[in-house]
Amino acid sequence: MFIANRVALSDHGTKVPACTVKALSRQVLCSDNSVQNKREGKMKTRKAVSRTQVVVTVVVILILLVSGLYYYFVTLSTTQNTTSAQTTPTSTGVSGPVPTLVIQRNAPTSDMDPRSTSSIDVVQNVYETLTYILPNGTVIPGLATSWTHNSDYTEWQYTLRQGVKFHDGTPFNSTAVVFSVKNIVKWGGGDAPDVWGNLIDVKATGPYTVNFTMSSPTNLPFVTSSAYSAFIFSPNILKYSGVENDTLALHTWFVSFHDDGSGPYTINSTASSLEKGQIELDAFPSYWRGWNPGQYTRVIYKFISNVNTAVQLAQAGQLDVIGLSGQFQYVPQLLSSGLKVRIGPSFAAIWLLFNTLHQYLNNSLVRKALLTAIDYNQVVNQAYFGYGHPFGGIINPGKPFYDANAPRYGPAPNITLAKQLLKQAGYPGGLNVTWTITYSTGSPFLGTVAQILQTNWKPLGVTLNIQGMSFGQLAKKAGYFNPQTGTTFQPGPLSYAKSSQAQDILLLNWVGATADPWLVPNELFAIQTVNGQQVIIYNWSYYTNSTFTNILNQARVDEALNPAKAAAEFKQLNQMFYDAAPGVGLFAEDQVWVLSPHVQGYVPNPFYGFDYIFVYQLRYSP
Amino acid sequence: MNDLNVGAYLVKRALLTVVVVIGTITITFFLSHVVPSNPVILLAGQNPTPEQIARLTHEYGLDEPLYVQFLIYLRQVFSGNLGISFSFSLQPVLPLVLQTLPNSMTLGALATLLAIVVGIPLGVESARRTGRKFDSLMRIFSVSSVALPQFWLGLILQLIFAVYLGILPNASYGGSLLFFDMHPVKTVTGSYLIDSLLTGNFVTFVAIAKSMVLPVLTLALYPIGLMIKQTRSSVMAALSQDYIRTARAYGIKEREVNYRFALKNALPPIIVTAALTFAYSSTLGVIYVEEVFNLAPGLGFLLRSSTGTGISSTGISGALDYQLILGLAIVVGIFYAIANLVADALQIYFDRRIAR
Repeated sequence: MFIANRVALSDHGTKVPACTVKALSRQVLCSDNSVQNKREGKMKTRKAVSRTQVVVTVVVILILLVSGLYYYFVTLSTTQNTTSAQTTPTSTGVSGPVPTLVIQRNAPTSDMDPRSTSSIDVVQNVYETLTYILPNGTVIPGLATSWTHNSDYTEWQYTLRQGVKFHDGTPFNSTAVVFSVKNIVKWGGGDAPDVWGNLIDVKATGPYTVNFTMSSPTNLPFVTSSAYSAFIFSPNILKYSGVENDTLALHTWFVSFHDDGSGPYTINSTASSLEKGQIELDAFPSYWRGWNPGQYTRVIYKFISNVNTAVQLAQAGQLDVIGLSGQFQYVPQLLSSGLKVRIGPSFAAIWLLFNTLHQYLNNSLVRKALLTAIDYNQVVNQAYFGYGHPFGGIINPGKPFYDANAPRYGPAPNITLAKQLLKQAGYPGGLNVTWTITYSTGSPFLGTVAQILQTNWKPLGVTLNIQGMSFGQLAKKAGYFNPQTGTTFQPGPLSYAKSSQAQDILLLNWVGATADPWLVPNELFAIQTVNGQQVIIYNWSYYTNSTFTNILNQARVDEALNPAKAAAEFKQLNQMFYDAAPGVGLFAEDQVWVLSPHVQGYVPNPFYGFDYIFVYQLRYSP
Repeated sequence: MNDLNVGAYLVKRALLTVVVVIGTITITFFLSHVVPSNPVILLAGQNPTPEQIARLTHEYGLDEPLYVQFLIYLRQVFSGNLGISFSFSLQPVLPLVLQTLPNSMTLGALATLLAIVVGIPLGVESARRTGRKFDSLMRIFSVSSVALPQFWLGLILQLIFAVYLGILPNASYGGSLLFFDMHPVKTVTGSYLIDSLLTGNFVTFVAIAKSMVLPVLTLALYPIGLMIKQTRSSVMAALSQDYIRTARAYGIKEREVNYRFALKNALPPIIVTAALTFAYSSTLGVIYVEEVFNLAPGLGFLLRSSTGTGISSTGISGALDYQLILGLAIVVGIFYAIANLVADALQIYFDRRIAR
C-alpha cells in the first residue's frame, strides 16, 4: 500500500490539512479527519448526473434568471425614471402638483443657528432680514417697510411689516426684532461682532416700530440686510427650547434642526436626515408674500462632495442646482447636456498675503518685485478657468466704494521691472531663497495658483515649497492659535509671525460677512488688538501700519456720514496698499451655478454669500 | 486534538481581540489629537467667541490633560457610550455608526461574495495552468485589479454603464436621489436591500439591487484580484503534494483532484483572505465607493463628514469630530477583530492542528 503523507504549507506559511491517499480503497483521508473522497462505488453513483446535464441545467437557470432580471430592470427603467421634477402634494394653496427642487451641497451641515450660521445657503430660505440688498446695491424693504435716521446716522427708526407670521403662527412684531438682535449680540458668535459692532441699543418704540442707536455713523440698512447674523426669529424659541439666558444651549437647539423664522420655508429635517445625506425644507403655507403657481414647495439639499458625481446626476436630471467648487472644466459638458450655466459676480476673492515680518519679505521693494512678476491672467485662466477678474485695491469689484482705477499690478508679468525693484532693494543678483507658501485644501485650485507663482518667481531666484493643508492647520501655522490653551482659532501673539514656523506666503479664498467695504481689508490688513496687545487673527500678512488702520476705521465711519470723504479715504488706502504691498487680491471670483432647464428666475446676488439661491425667487417651468 | 484545546485557542484569540481593540482606541485617540483642531468649533458655530470655546471646551472635558481625557474616554467606551458627534447634530456616536453600518456591510458582503465566486475558480484554474496564457492573463488581471484606484474605477464604470450605455443608474440607492420618497422602505435591519426584500417590496428591491451593481463591482475588483492571487498560490502549493500525484495516478478525474482535494487543502489561507476582504470591503473599501456613487447612509459618508469636510462660507474646514472618528475606529477595529476571529475558527474547522 502506497501512502503519501505530509503537512502542506501555503506560501504564507499557513498550515493546510495534509491528506493521505489510501491507494487500495481510493479514499483520501485528511488531517482534520474528513474524508475528501468517497469510495469508487459512490463516485460512480454521483456520475449518474453527467456533467453535460449539469451544465445544461445551470445554463437554463442562468437564462431564466437573466431574463427575469432583465424584465424587472426594463420595467423599472420605464416606471422609475425619476427625476427631480417629482411631484408632491402642495399645502400652500397652489393648485396642482408642484415640483421638488434638489440642490447639491458639497458638505453636510447642521449649523442651522440663524445667529451665527455659516450655512446661509440653507438658512436664508428659512429666516428673513429687515431689509435686503439688490444686486445693484439698492436696499429694499424686507420685514421692515421703511426706515429713517438722524442727521449723523447714529439713530435709526424702522417701521415693521404687519401681517407677517412666524412658522409657529405667532405674529412678527417689534418684540421679535429687539429679541433677535439682542440675542445675536449676546451670543456674539459668527459674524455678530462685525455686523453689530456699532450697536449701542435697540428698543421697541411701538408694536411695529423699532429704534436702533449706534455708536458711530452707520449705514444701518446695509447692516440689517447682512447675509449673516441679521436674521429675525421668534422669541418663542426660548419656550420651545426650554432654555433661558443660555445662548449656548439655544445653539444646540438650533443645530438639532429646530426653527421659528418667518421665511418662505421651514426646516423639515431631523438629525437622522444628515445620515441620509440631506436636509429638507418645506414651504410655509402662511408665508406673508403668498405663493404662486410654479414655486417650489419642497427643497432638498443633497450632500454630494464629488463634483463628477454631481455633474452626472445633474445630467441625468436628478439634481436641479449644482455648484462646481472651482471645477469649471465640466462647464462645456454640462452646457451640451442642455443644462443652464449661470455666472454671477461674487464678493469672494483670492488673496495673496506676504509674511511682512520675515526676512526679505519685510522689504516692500521685494514684495513689489514679486507682485510685478506675477502673470495675473495666467492665474485666473489656468487655476480658475477664466471665471474671475484681476482687480486692484483693497475692495472687491461690485462693492460700494470699489475703484476700478485703483493702482494695480499686472495683469501681465514684468520680469525686467521686477529685477530692477530687487536691485533697488539691494539684491541685484536675485534673491536665491526658498519660501513656504501655504493654502487651504478646501480650495484645491489654490494649489494651481501656487504652482503658477512657483514658475513666475523662479527668474527672481525664488523657490517655493508648496504646502496644502486643512484650514485649521493653516490657521495654526499662521498664528491664529493660542499657545497657552493650545487652541486654534484663538488670537495668538503677533511675535509668532517672526518665527520660522510661520509661513512665508499664504493664499486665501476669502469673502466678507457683509458687503461693507471696510470689512475684508480690516480682517486681512488692519492691526488687531486684544487688551491692548497686537495679536494674530486673520491678519496673516502681519501688516502693522497704524496709519492704514486708522484711515480704514475712519472710512468706515464716513461711509454713511460722508460718502465722498469715505471714497477719498478708500482711494488713499488703495494707494497705500499698492505701495506697501503686504499682499494682493489676485482675482475676484465669479460664482457659477449649473441649473436644470426647468429652473427659472435665478438672479445672482453677490451680497448673499457666494450668490446663494433664494428658492422663493425660482419657478418651475415644465 | 480535543475540543478543550480548540476552546482555549479561541478564547485566547478572543482575548487578543480585546487587546487589539484597546490598542486601536489608544492609537486613534492620540493620533487624532495630534492634528491641530478643536472639535468644539463644530459645535459652537462659525467664529465662536473665546468664552464660548472655553465653556464648551470645559463642558466636554477637552481642557483636561490628554491622558485624563483618554482615561475618561476609555471609561465611557466600556460603559457603552462612544460620546456624541459634534458634526452630526449632537447625536450619540454608537447608534449613529450602528445605523449606518448595515448598508455598508451589505455592500461589503456582496463584494466579498462576488470575489469568492469569481476569484476562487479563476485562482484554481490559474494554478492548474501555471505558466500558460490563462495563468499569465490572471496574474496581470490580479495585479492590475489590486493596483487600480477604486474611485477611478467607479468613475469609469459610471461612464460606461450609466452615461454611455444607460443600462444602470449612476448613483444613489434606487438610482434616484428621491427614490425613497416614492418607495419608502420599512426599517428592519437597516440595510435598504435586505429590508426591501424582507418586507416583500420586490420592485424596490430590484431597483436597489440594480443601483448596487456598479458599486459592488467597483468594490469587488480589488478583492477578486486578491482572491485569485491567494487561491492560485495556495492551490499551487497543494497541487505539488504527493497525495495529489497519487490521486492522479489512480485516475481520479482532474476536476475532482483540483476542487475536492487541492482546493479543500488550500482553503484556510483563502478563508482568511475572504474574512479580511469582508472586513475591508464593509469598512474602509466603502469610503470611496459610497463617495463616488453617492450612497448614504453609510460608513464612508460618516467618516468623510467626521474628518473636517464641513465647509463654511469662508472656506473654514478641518475641525475634526474626534468622538465620531474614535467611534468609527472602534467599530472598524472590532469588525476586523471579529473577522479575524471568524477566520481563525474556520481555519480550525478545516485543520484542527492550527489550534495546537
